[in-house]
Amino acid sequence: MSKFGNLNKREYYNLKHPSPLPIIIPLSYISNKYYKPIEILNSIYDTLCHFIINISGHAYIDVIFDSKLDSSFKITDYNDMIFIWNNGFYGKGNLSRSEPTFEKRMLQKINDYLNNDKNTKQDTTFSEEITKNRRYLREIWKNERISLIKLEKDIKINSINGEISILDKEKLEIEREKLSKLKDDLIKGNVRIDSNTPINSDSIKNRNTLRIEDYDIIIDSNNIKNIEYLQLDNCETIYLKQLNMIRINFDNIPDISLTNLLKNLIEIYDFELLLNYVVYYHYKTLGWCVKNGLKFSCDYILYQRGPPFSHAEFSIKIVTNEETDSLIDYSAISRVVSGVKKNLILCFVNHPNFNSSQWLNIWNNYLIDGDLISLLNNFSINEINWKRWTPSRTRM
Amino acid sequence: MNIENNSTNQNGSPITDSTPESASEPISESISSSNLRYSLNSRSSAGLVTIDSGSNLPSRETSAIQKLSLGNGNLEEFSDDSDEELQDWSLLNNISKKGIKDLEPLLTDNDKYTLSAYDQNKLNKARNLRFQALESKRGAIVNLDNLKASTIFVNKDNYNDIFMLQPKGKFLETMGFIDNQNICHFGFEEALYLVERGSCMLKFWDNENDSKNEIFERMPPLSLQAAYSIFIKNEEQLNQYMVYSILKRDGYIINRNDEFNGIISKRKRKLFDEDTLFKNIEMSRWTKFLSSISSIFNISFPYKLAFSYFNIFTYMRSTLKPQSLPKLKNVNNELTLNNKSCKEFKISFNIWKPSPNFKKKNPPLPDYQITIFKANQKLPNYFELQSLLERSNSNPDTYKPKPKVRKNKPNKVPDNKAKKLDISWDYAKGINMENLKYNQNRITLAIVDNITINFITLSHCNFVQEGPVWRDHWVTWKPPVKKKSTRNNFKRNEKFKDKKSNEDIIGKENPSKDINNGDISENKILTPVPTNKKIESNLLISNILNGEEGNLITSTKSSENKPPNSAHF
Repeated sequence: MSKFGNLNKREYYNLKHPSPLPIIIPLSYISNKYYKPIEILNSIYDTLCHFIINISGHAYIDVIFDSKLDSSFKITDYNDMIFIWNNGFYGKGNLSRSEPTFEKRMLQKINDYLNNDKNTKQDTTFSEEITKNRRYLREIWKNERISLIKLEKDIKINSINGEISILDKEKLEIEREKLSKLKDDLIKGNVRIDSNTPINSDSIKNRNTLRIEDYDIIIDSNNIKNIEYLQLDNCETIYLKQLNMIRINFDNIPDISLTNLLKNLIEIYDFELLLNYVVYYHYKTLGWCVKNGLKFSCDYILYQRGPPFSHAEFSIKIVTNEETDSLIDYSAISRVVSGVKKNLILCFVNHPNFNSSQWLNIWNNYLIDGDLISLLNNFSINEINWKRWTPSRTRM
Repeated sequence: MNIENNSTNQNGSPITDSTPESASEPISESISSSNLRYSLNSRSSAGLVTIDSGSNLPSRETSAIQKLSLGNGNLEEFSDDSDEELQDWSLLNNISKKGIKDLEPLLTDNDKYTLSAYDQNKLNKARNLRFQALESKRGAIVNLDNLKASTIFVNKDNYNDIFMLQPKGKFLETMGFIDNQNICHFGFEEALYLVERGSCMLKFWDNENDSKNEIFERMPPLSLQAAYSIFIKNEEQLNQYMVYSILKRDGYIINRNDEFNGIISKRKRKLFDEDTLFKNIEMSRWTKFLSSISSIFNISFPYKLAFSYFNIFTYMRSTLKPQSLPKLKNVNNELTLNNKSCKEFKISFNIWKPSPNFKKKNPPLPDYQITIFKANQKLPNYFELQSLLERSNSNPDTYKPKPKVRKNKPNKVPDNKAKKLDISWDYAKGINMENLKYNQNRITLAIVDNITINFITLSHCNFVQEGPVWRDHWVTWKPPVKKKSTRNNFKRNEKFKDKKSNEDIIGKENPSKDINNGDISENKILTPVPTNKKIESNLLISNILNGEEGNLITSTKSSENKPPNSAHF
């Protein structure tokens, strides 16, 4: 059984990630053409339940910030963590690649260790594992290639008078074809590995060993301590606060207001933070899933729905009024971005001059009336798509 | 680096024949052949170097023309209409098929200083090939029978006055401007290009004193160095020539834009229409009602009652409308910085893809428009780029992506329907990503760093115009309920098994018929209990190889039926 149980992958992810915002609302399933009568009743019942349950009170997610410790916004409660990730893909697990999967991975590891005699089935549920396996298969191919190159060299050096014999040539050709076929198979996913052989070399090695520190987190046979927390970045925190979904303990001030939060953050990060937030909010309100783009040499990357559903299609580079980077820098960014098959969008933020008295007026007004939207409306955003052109390829 | 195969040129045109077919195919790269090309054809490197040591156009000898016919090294891509025999460089392609790495010496671990027998053999072969290629007679490009028809004159008092008295030649189809006295005038870049590739000779001309013209006539033609020093006076002109010659050699038709001389034209269009800008983020009546209630009672928007996330997004977006409007263009506004340094950049060239039907008097919309930047220049600010985009006017079809052909969907049927229906915006479809990636408002920057040129196409895009990307039916839509009979499933499974076992027998012969992702997922849906271990492991691996888990689900999506037009509130 795979992780999807009886569901297909689409249904599974729809259940897991039902919403783009951490606000659960009753969706009208009736709009579906193929509903059954009972589903109408279901839908009405759902809707009613929503209101009845939620009348009792608004559940906030607790976020902790401590400027003396590490100046980061943390969600420590496991359920909150999962909730905020599943509904909108916010934050990053500090012990995971993105989705906070540490506890599950650890549990699996321990279970595998305990049942290692018979349980050989690998459940590659986690994105970390999937990447690891992909790299492993790629490694196999690379090793094959190295051995081919070595063979070729040997044949060449041992050739008589520098001529490769026909026999050797044929031999090389066969090996070469084998290699290219292996690559094709890897890409298409046709490589058959006996299901009894675990494909993950790392997990073979690690399965039978638990490190000493691993024992520290074991509580009993079914439970382990969760030592992972979810870290939100500044823009995500402001956004969630703006939606009134979180309660922030800011340096021991319980439940700080949005205005004060912003004021405090601006003191730390200066008005540059607002530039980032304007862009973040811009795409967020257009329904995109916005994640940090540091790994792709830009400011943000945009997923249409979220990381499990598709690759990000766009990468956003913020360009401010005081831009000093030369065209060489932008050429470099575009090379990296096109290497990972994304489109580079230059997002020009036309912002107020932060040193002008007019801006200080606006800022002070904001601190009094707390109207963030009208503050953001002092900025304007324009986008330009940057794409490399190779003349020799487009001639025809 | 390409060694063009001249023997394959069939149309014989001196300009467009340069590379189209030969450069597009990967041609071997090798040390020796690239060196060879370098020495023979050094004009690719800045053109400031002379052709090759033996081939400087001799300027003082009377036998200049003879020498020219022997020595001019522009052997690569010409073929005037004259029946000169062309050099066949394709021989050199045989030196190595794998490129430069194939020519690295193989050193044994014991002896690092002598070449192995294999290397020696290879080296000898390559050398012989090279000598063979150089052995044959090499020809000139200028038409020796009628020198006047291939001589460009430059007014000795005004170097911008460049003309040809008896214009003749295929290159005139795309270059030069013929006036009513049948005199062809050239721009400096065209003249220099023609001289450099050896199609034309360059001589001085004196407008006032005809006797001097006779002296010029008898003198040998001006050298390439002289031509460069006459035509290129500053860095800007050098950059313009670099861009011109690179694109020309690639086979493009390239002409000056109206703004070439620095006169900036008026803007031709607006990038977006403010009336239609927000049409995709318009709120539904219900959302409007909710938002007015929230503003009247001064409470936060009741998200819980919105009924769809799409509604929430349109509400949030509607509060941000001023962000997308060009409101800060006011020069006197202290709030903005950008206007003080706003410069106008000119569009230098219009470019067309090679086309036999091109008429220079009545050209179609250009495929590309080029503006030239230096690499160390700062990125222009938005208003500078906006101005460029607004002045550009290029063929909107050039950048349209080719329609993706999908197996399941026949293309013709929806085309007819599309004309009847207004498909400009369809909620069920999701936003059109192509609109964000391609736009007819575009301009190509040629970023010049010495002799390296990087071309960048900038195009306008507007995320707001496309509206929220989120679709609620991603979550709510369910495929129509199929009648599942277990028998069918069983049959399918059996079939699948058969197929698999057949493949095992056939083995590697038939890799293309292996299951693809779509099949897997379909199978996945239909197999309630994965009895077949192979299927599972396949699924697993395909999962892994697909990188992020997401790919599988997209393929599942496409293999399923299209979601219906679900209404949105």
